[in-house]
Amino acid sequence: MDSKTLIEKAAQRSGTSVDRGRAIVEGFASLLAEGGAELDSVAVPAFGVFEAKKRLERVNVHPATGKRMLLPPKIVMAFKPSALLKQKLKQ
Amino acid sequence: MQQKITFSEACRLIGRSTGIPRQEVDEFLRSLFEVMEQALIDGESVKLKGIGTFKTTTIAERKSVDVNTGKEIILPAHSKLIFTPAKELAAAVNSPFEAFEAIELTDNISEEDLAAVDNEISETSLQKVETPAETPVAPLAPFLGRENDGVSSAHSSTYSSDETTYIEDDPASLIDDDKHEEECKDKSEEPCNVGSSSAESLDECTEYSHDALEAGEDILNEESEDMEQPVEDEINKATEYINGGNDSSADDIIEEDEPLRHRNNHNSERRKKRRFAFIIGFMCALLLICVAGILILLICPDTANRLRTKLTGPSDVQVESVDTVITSLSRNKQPETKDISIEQASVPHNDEAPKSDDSIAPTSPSDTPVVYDKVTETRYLGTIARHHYGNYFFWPYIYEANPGLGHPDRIKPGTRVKVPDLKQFGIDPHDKAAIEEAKRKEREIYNRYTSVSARRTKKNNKR
Repeated sequence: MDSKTLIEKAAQRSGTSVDRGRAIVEGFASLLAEGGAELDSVAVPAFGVFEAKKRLERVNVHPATGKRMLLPPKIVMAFKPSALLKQKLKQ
Repeated sequence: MQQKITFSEACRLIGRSTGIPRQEVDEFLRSLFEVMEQALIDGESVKLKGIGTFKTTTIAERKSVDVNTGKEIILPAHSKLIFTPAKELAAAVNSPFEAFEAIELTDNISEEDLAAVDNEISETSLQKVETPAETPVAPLAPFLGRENDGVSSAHSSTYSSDETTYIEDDPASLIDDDKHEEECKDKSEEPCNVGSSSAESLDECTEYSHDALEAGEDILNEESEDMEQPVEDEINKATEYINGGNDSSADDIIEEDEPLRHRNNHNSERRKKRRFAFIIGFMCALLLICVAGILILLICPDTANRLRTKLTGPSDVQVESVDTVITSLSRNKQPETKDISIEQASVPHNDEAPKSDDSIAPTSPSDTPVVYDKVTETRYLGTIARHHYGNYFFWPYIYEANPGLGHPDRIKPGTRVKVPDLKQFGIDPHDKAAIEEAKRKEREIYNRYTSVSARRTKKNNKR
């Protein structure tokens, strides 16, 4: 399901307009982005947690050339589904 | 920093930023995630613009080994939810590190070089990388093929569908690999039960060992090298990168708050600052010692005299010779102490009178052999008086017999003083009246040192 359909459906369900729904989603995205840069995590009940994780720098060896590469540290956004969701998916 | 934002808090923030009432935001988001959940359960993948893609995959049954028992276990088939962040989100989240790039390490690179290059990093950015779509796909295929067995099919699918975009944006692709690897690590750290996720991760970890993952990444890197000339140049530039983080521990995330690019600058700055601070501290210490020394010299002429004796040698000889000269003349010539002390200071060490008593003895008027005692740090005139006279209070006579002593309480230790025989004066140490007389003398002596003239005397003594 793509973004548009999703927002439409959600707007229908909650009784909001699609435009406002879109704005809300955008707001959520920016919240994740800003929080992520600060390594904050956002929790959604019965769904999961959006966590920002820091990956430390690593030294990799290029198998072909044998060169060592230094990969810089970075922050990534990860999602951890809640137990409830996992349960539902199992079925 | 590392906060956990609750759902209600998130709704409040979003409400504030969008202007939509919090209640509405809350309701909408809840329904949104419900819809997503339903779609995911149905096996559909969900894409949220600006956030990312959620997808479920089924993992086939697999044989594995239980970590705790070591027995063989069959992992049942199950579904797994995978989230791939959208480009924008990934980039935004990585904003503290966006200027960082991967560099090639050679043994020649020194810290200074890396530090010098550090400044160039801000200019280059991986986002500028342009890529041709074709070449990357093929080398990826075998890797993809392998990956399809396991969990990271999401990766592979995203690669195949979005290959250009993913190769274009190296950080994102590296993120995926990293995430994959990290997931392995994270999960293997969890208590290892028969639980699917952990065993899975073990499997994955063994299957996709470091080599494999690195191979995946390196293939990506390789592709980047295969790219067109401008890109290559970019990457050559990018190969210079600071490695300030050698001492970083793998465990603590929060430690590495500062972007590495600033760290080396800070390091060198810190070193300089440290040196500077050290020098300042050292100077302060020296100053303090000097000040303390001066204070001691000012306050305690005793210690000063002590030092002087140590430095100047047997000056007590002078005291002797001068003393005897004076005693031969008159006993109570106190005002002369001033002159004598000046004389003392100016007279050189060696000559004048020899140390022996003999030369002095003849000048003494008494018949009885002259008794001498030495003033030490523990043995003052009072102690000497007690020793010789049996009474402490008669020390003023000793004092008077030895002009040029200065303040009675601050006589240079090592000073040889003449101990006059009290019978000379016709004083009986046990006589109360005599004791009173002695006490009066004591008061008189001390009084001398509290008056202005005494101060002058002191000054002269110092000279």
